[in-house]
Amino acid sequence: MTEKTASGGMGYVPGLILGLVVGSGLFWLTIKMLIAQRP
Amino acid sequence: MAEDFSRRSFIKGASLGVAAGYFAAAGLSSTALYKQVMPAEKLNQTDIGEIKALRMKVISETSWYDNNVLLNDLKGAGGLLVNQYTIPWTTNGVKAGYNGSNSGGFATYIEADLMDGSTKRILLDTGWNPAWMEKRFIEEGIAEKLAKKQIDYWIISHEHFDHYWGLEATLKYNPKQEVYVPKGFYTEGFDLLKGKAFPKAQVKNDYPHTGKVNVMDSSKVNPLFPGAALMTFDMPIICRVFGEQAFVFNVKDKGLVLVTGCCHMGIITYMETVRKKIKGGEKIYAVQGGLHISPFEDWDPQYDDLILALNKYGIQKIGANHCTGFIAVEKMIAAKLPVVTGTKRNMTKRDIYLGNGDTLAV
Repeated sequence: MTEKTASGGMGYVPGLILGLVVGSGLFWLTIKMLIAQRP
Repeated sequence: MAEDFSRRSFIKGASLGVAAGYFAAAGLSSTALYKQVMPAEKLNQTDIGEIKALRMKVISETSWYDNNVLLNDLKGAGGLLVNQYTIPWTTNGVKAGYNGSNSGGFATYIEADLMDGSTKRILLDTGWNPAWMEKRFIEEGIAEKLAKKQIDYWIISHEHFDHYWGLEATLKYNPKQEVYVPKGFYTEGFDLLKGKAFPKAQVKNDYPHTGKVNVMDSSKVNPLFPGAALMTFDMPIICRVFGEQAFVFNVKDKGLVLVTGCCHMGIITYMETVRKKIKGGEKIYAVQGGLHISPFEDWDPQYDDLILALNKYGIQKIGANHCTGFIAVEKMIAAKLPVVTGTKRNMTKRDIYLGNGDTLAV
């Protein structure tokens, strides 16, 4: 029997944390690319 | 089954996490972490040197005497974009005018004390109505200085009728006076300087200019002497005029002093350009001249933002007049900006700003 969390199930929280890191990293890359392209 | 369920939860969490992480990073980088994320601004500042002291005397800031008459002239001619040399300006029958004429003019006399003890004398602009300007030039000793060739620099801020068309008042006393005009002057402007008349606009020059004419480039800071420079701004202005130049002085132990004719480029643009291009641009001590906010005494809510923005520059003295407008100055005073008041003389209508004959010393 799998234990469920309030968010739906096992693995949600680790996914969320990894997502936060990846998401902020994506923004970091975006802003760096935009800055590099400035005249 | 258990493994599939966990993977689905993981993907759900990760999806939300990526979106939340992206927008959270955007929010933080534009606020709390702005300085860490954004690169330092590259400034290309020129060191213009220093002067000891500066005095700016308002010769005339009353360019016209009745706003409605001027606006009707513009409306009757076809609007704000019509060539100023083709507009039949009202020169008689104006009750509030100078001898019935609606035309007055703008001119400022500047004395800069250099570090070596010498003094440079500058005439900024030459007004509109030659009769009015000559009267003011005589009253303030400018005519005498012109005749004795004591004016080192004659600067025309821009080609507008109220700053340039009174050139007879200057050339009568020294037709050889070297002049500095901004890039963008039209052919009519140079022709007027040489003696051509424009009867429809009722402007003439019976004293053809025989001195050197300098056209100031807009792509760089134009130093005049140690501690002083001119900056030219490219832009179209109403009545088919192009380009305007303004002063930057650097007064020792005080900071930069900006002196304008009409400031059509906008006071914020002017100060930001100075901040980026002039060494010491972070400290603007004083601003003097027309700031072009409400020249026709109208008001738009966006000008309130301008007043708020002005408050952030830490200016110590604001010697505004002319096209700044009384409403704008009232708002500045209400916002506790350091507006220098005047004495309401020589046809200046109110004492809430520097008027004709008043001096701002730095």
